[in-house]
Amino acid sequence: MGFSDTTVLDGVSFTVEAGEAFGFLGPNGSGKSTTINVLLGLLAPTSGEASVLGHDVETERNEIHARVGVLPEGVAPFPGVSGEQHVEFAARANGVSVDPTELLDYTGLDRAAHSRPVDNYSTGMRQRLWLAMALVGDPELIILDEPMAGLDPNGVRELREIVSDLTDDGRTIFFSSHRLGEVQAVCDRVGVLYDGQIERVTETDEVGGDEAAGRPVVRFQVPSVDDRLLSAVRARDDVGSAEYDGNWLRVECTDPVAKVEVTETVLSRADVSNLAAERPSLEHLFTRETGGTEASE
Amino acid sequence: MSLSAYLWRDLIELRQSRTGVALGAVFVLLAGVFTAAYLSTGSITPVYAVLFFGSPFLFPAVGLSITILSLARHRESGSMRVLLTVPGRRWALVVATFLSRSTAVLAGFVLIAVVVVLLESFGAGSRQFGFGLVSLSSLLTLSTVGVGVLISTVATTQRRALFATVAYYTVAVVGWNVFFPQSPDQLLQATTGGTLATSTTQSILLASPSNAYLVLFQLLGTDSGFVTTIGSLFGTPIPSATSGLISLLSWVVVPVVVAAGYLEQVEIHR
Repeated sequence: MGFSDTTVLDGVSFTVEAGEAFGFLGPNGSGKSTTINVLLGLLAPTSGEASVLGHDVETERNEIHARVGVLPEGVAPFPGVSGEQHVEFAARANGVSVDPTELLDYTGLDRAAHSRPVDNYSTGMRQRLWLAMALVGDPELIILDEPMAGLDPNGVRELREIVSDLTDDGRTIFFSSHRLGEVQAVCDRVGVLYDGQIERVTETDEVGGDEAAGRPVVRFQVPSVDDRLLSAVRARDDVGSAEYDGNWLRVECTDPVAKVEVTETVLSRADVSNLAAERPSLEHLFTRETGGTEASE
Repeated sequence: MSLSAYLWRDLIELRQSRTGVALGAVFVLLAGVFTAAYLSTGSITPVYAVLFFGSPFLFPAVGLSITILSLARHRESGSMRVLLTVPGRRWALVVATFLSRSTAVLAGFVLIAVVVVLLESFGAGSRQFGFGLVSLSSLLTLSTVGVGVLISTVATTQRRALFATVAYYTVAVVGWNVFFPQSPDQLLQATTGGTLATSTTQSILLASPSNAYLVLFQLLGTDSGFVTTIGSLFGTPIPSATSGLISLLSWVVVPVVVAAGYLEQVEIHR
């Protein structure tokens, strides 16, 4: 998909199943928001097609908007308008009647801020406001674009609970984030977007068992490693790599079963003071897919 | 549904904004000035003069200033994404913005009309004339509200909207009124020696909302020097009031239609 002679997205193809929480993961600038804009009919792809809830994004965007709630990223609210009035606006646009106070309470916005103009809302308060607006009209699909941004730990926990409630209620969640732990905590499946391309779509729960997504790693803290040990480990068919950084020997196995034999070999031939087996995480997946360094929360 | 929702939201935003406060202040100030002018001179004529000579400059500025940031602000801040992803048609957002800003402008003119009619009832003025003058001024103002909405829809930042508005005001309002008080036919004759057909001259003149506004003064009666002024500008025969009305209404409606069509097609990147 290209815009103004610049290809922003290319080869993006994925399907989100009804009722699932789908994580959309990628570093800043990878094209996540652009993808969302396409799904919402705000941008038109130069080629390819996309549909949301069975509606074509280019020709049926109004039908999509009637069934989708959106929490946008980095958007300033309407100046001078209170939080309650924002929710009231969403209700009027959806043609429904809601109690703004109830919704804002549900998303955790402080009661004292409900009737206050939003101009001085913090980022976290804005997120709670947008979420309340996104929930107006009981949408079937809720698109959350970096929903945890600006939330304190309590807010993060509360949002996770809300997302969990929503999926339990049968709603479909599209959860876009560059923060891997967030996606891991709330999503059933995850699609990794990098440089405008979907690199992988995988089950969140099965990341550890997915060879391509992330291989089991065993680390040994040792004062020194001789070349013969290193060569012996590397020579194994079930070992992908073995690196020593002067303190830790890191062995990446291609077969989870190899961890035991590798550990026996290293323990018998080196002075190991500590060891750790790592379950491959989304951070590992992210690093592998994007070729970058592991992101820190 | 979305039209009323957009309208409701924009009226709240306008009421809370500095623009809304400034608009109210302008009209209250104007009402005060009119009253003071009448009390100090004992005549309604200064009020008419301000409305007649000031309208082509003052009220377009009012109409533009109340609209220029209306939608450009949302395009710049990203909240346009929110406005365009609630259920509803995009054109409704443009129309609602025009209607809300027009409502605010008309509320100001209602105040002016009440003051003018009150002053006329105390003095020797004709009630129909003052009310008509205010009505025409409000119509002229609405023509620039439409232009302001168009500029604000197309501009992706507030700064661009501001620049475009200043450019429009300078060229189409000040420039036209200062450099085109004379007939384009006379201007052409003075510069190139050529001439234009009367109908062509009048069409060119009528394209200006300010001139269309002047043509509509025929509706207020044939007394006073207004018709003479119009005649010196347009020549004879003076274009009909209907043609002036069509021109002015076109300036009200066409920019809004263009803006709505633009927003239906434009891609929103943030």
